[in-house]
Amino acid sequence: MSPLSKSFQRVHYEFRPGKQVERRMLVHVLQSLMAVGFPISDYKYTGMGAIYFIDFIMFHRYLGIHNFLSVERSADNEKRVRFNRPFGCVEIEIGDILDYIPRLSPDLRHILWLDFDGILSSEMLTAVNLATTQLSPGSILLVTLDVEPPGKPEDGLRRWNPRTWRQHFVREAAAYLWTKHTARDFSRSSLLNVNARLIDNAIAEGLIGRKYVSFYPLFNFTYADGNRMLSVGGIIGTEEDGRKLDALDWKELYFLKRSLIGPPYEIEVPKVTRKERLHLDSVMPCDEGWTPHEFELNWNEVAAYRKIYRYYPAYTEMLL
Amino acid sequence: MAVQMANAFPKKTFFIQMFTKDISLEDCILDLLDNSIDGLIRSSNLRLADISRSIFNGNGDRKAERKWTPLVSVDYSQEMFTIQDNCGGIELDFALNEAFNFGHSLGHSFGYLGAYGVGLKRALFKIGRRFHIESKTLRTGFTCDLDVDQWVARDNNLDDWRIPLEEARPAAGQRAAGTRIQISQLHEEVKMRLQDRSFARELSKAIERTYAFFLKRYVRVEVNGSEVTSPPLPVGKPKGGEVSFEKIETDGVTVRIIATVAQGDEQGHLVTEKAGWYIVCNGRVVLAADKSETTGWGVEPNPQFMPKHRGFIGFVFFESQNPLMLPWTTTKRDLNRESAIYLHVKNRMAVAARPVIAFCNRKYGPDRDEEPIEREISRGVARASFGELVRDETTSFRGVPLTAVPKSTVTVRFEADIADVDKIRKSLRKPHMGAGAIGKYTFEYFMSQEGLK
Repeated sequence: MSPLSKSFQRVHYEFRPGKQVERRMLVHVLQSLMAVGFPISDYKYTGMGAIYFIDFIMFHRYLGIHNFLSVERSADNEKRVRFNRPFGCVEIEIGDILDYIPRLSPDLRHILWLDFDGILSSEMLTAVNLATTQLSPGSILLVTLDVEPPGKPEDGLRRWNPRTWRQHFVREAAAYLWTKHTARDFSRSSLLNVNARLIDNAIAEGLIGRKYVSFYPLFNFTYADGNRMLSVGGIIGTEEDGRKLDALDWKELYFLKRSLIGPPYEIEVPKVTRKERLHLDSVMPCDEGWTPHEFELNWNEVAAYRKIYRYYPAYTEMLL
Repeated sequence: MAVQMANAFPKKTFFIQMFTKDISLEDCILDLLDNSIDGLIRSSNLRLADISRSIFNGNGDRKAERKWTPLVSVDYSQEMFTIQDNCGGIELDFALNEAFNFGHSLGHSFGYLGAYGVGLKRALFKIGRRFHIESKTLRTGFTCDLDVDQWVARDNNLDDWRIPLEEARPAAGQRAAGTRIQISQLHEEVKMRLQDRSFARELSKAIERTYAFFLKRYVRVEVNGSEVTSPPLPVGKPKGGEVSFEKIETDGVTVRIIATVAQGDEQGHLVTEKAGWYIVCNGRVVLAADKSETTGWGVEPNPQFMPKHRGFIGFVFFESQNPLMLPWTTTKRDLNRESAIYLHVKNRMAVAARPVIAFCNRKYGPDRDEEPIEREISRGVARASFGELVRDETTSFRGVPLTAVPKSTVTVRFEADIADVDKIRKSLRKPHMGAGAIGKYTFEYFMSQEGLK
């Protein structure tokens, strides 16, 4: 096992293409929400920035948000986190996100991104529940988590199978599980939906008793830069907020979803070279079935590129 | 075909049997106390805002508006149960048209504590077979004598549901204005309960808990001659920190939620018995030091209450001019979990409690002794009145960090061949020595052999 225990130490956050496509799509959606009347630049963004703060940088540059809070769990990296703070308007707190959710001001609207890097746990669901209770109407909640099966494949099929995965969910999410379930419901192919349903249930619990406020789903993404991840979220809003959402160009924002528990939008990032990319971009959006003559790339790969070409990140080496 | 009418009349025996079943004797007595306090409220024009102010004013003291405090006396023996007060009495008009109804009529002007219009009747029928009531206000007076069995036997029409009253002289002065209820021919089960030595103590505890915000401020209560006093609640405020506070106004109900740390006793000890949530409706404590699912413990997103949470103390004050809007059950000793206001407030309580619970979790880490932690916590918590905890805006608890204890140990673990471990057991002649003990032994062995220790 890697001696680097935290995910930001194992994986360079700046080089996760699927995640970056997700961020860029998110920025596009937030810009569109501004156009239909949500004052996004006045929102406070709370995230778990680690040492990279990529979302903070993007939201400040492209959305004009200037009120930020980054919560880092471990005090072991405090100096490193503070050193990497990108702007003076980013406040940093070291502690459990659960401690900070109740402090989110009811007088502001928020974007809260619970960007967890592990598999589902009771603390995550508690955070979701608390967030939906606390966030003011018009606020946006996004939850990201790892949806790989719990445990380790090295343990062997006897100790790593749907029965043991089910035990994990019973242990961590009993309060949010539906009443009848068997091991079959926790097969590998079902885990995306299991995680989404549990988060959906935690959101519903958090909303109990809140008058005139509902949850309007918008985001339901999956991608796999390494482990398969799921991001779900939406707006906690009034009926008026719901009407504003109807004014979005849902055709242009084709990756948005109106439900957390239906099939997610799959972000697939085909691996192409910079030269290939420039060539592909010159014909985007291409016709159905088009493939380049100059090099081998099948239609499935071209189609995947066509879906996300506007959000495809470009990585370069800068010799400083 | 001609329509025929089926009887759907209320029957006295049904009422008396059914609605006395699910309430304890203590709760019946508390209902009678509620009526006394409602009488006090009516006669002194006490407003809900006054009660609220007396709880939330800055130093917790109430400036007495009277020079004397009305008294409610509860006395009982095997022959007689008596409750007597000088809280203002019941107007004759009210007695004739409202007080003896089962339930309230439309347009009824509610008291603050008597919500359902059943407390008096339920208590009378629960306790005995004969009652005598005398009540005098400054304007009117009446007496009422009833043999319950004879009254129950006449049940042919609605007129048989009436109860005879005789007009009496009004009270000579404020201190004489009040009500006396005497119940005799006590039911056998009530006699047995009253005989129980623990009853007086339990009743006194129930009174001191339920009327914590009324005793001494507005009324005194005696049980068989002994005054019931309410010990102060261990309400604390973190020095240099902040409490959780939120005020909600919805559907004619004002709710104030306060979550904070408890203040320890003189030795700095925290009392688990007093920890938990206190739910107060119109000044009456419905739940005290609750640690159950009713107030959310063990229900997501809250943890199960554990001893390490004994530093937690929270209060939810519900106030409404219409007591039917409050989330209490008919016994007023529990919360109605289907109440819309309860459902709304329950999640807000979880948000308010969260930082206090996190503080309690952090302070009792696995590598710290509890007693010194408690003393350290207590030094950082000041006694506070409710007035000092009320804020103009919603706040979230912030405690003062504990002194960090530098870690001086690290866990050493490694895999070893079972055959090798068995060899060590054999060599030490300790066939049952555990693997952990063997690891420690070999560590200590190396340290001493190499002169490192």
